[in-house]
Amino acid sequence: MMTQDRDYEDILRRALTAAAESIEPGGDGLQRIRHRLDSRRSPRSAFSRFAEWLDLYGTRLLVRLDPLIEGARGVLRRTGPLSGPLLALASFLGRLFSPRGRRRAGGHRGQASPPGRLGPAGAWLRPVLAVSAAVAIVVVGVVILNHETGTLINPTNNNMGTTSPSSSLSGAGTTANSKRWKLPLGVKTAPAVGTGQRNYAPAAPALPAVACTPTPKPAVTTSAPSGGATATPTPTPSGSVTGTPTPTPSGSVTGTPTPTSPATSGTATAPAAMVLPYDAGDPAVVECGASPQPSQTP
Amino acid sequence: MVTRPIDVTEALIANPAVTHAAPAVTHAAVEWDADRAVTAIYSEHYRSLVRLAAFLVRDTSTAEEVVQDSFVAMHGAWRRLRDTDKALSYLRQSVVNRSRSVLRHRMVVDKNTPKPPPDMPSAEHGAIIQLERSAVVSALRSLPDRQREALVLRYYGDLSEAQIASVMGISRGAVKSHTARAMAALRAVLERDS
Repeated sequence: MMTQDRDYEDILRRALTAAAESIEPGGDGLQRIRHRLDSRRSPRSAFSRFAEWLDLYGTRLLVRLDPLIEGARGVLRRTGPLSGPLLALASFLGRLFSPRGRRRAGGHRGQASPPGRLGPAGAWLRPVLAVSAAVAIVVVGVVILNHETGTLINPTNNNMGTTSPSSSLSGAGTTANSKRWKLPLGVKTAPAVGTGQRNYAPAAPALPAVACTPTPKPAVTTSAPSGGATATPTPTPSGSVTGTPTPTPSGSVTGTPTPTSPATSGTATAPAAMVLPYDAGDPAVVECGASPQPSQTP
Repeated sequence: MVTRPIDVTEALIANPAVTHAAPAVTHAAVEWDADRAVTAIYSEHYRSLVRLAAFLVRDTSTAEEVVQDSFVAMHGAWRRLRDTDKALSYLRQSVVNRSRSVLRHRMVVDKNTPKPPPDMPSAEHGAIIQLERSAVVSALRSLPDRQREALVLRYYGDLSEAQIASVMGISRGAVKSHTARAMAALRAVLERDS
């Protein structure tokens, strides 16, 4: 058995050597290699190499994505109004990248490619068009599927009463309220209370949030306002103080602003904004004017 | 008195002007080396590489293109290689990989091409016919690609199992398996034909 294997190995070796002797490569190989090296060094060839790369890998990608594209076509057929143009686009993409179409246009490697329907620029325009069309199809498909499943991305669908963690009492954060309500110059809607202050009594009445602009009166000190949910401008020389009233356990609003947040301890430099201690209901904002009333300032 | 040898770092510190001129000089030297290496390896191994590729892609003109592409790639990778043996190994691996790409591409094209009439010769018929002068080579054509690669590298390229494994990117056990299966299939074909 071993000798028979060796016989076959010898036969194969001799046959391969004899067959190889009959293969004689052309004599201009080195010139062609140098020509390729020279053309590779030219800046123009970078684009053509990118086009070749895109052509090769785009084709490979689309061949692998063929079942996915077929599945997407099936989904698009069921979706309705947009399916017509998308199906047309998908079929155009398929025709553009089918090897039959490529053979019609260019043929195999090494052969001179006559200009196809896209003209001489088709060699690089075709893959670019195909990849961009594929991306467009995927994007539209994702949007349609999201719409179908009711999970459409809604940028304004966040909780109106909560702020992002980045927004603090210093007034840097903007909520959706500030987009919906036109405020006079200098008046900002206060950001709703942060996450650490959300355990308020649920029975508290919905009162508007008050945002005021401090008057630039120097040397006016802030004192605790007495009374209900009224605006308390807190003018300080350096700017304004945003008081955050601390809710009482009973749920009634006492309006005693005790800065609890570390950001408001001491003299805060936040824009003047007074927020009532709950965020229930409609985020209405009561404007108190460009300057606070004298009666409100102690 | 024995002088201590000075290493490269110390020489560069002692003569900092060298460090500024080094990149341009190195780049030009590498380019020059790469050009020389291409010429040297071409004169020694181009023909055998074309024949190896011709066995794999079954077409002489395509085999030449594959080998020329590999030389261009080797020129670009010369900065990493810088050695003729490594360059030759790189070339063989590149030829095998590019031949695989050609076969894959050809398979996709053939799948979508309308079949020609039986009496009409295909485009590559003329190139293939010179490879099919012996029954062994025609039997070799009927083998799967990996088995054919293993046989050609083993019995035409005279590579060891380790070299074949490196070129094909598989393990030595897989090389043994491919070779044994290919030999069994080849023997069955030849015995059936005879």
